[in-house]
Amino acid sequence: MIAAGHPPAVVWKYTPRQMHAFLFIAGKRRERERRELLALHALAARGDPKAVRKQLKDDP
Amino acid sequence: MRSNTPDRRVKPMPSLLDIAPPELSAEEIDIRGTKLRVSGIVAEDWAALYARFPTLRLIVSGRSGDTVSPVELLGAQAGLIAAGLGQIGNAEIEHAVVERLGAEDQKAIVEAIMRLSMPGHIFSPLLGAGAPAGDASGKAAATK
Repeated sequence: MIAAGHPPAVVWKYTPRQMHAFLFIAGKRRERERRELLALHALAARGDPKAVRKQLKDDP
Repeated sequence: MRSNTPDRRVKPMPSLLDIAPPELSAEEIDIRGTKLRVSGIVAEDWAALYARFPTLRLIVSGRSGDTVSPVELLGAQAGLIAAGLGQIGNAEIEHAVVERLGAEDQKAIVEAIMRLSMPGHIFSPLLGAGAPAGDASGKAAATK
């Protein structure tokens, strides 16, 4: 929970049900970030600098 | 061919109530005409309960077996109910729980506390506390 950005003092004020839900949401976000990273690596591995530059430019 | 049975591997998305603060997701329970406001127990209160009632820790860890006495279970349940009523550690409330609430009433309150506190039902052994020996139904003895 703390690694996901929840301050320790606040975490003690959560019910286990809240913790479970927040961990689920954090897990989903990590999963999405890993997919995005994998897509970027796959793109870079193809060795097309133009495509990589375009992707980095497109990223918000 | 697609099956209509839900895929157990797919976890349901938490609802807003799952992440709402305990005071917002609290419920009112009617116990013989008296409305009790029950809320989920937060982590620091769970820690205090575990320290005070090692029985709770045994139940949660699944190591309770036959070693837990009914008296310990009743005490732990009274402490748990007091915490769910926002009165953790209040001996007066705990005594009132033991003296005035029947097993069925206690069960209703504990069920609400667990539903509001936990994502699962790991405390089910506790729900039988207060029932007369040999009565697995958890029905309350007549209360005054």
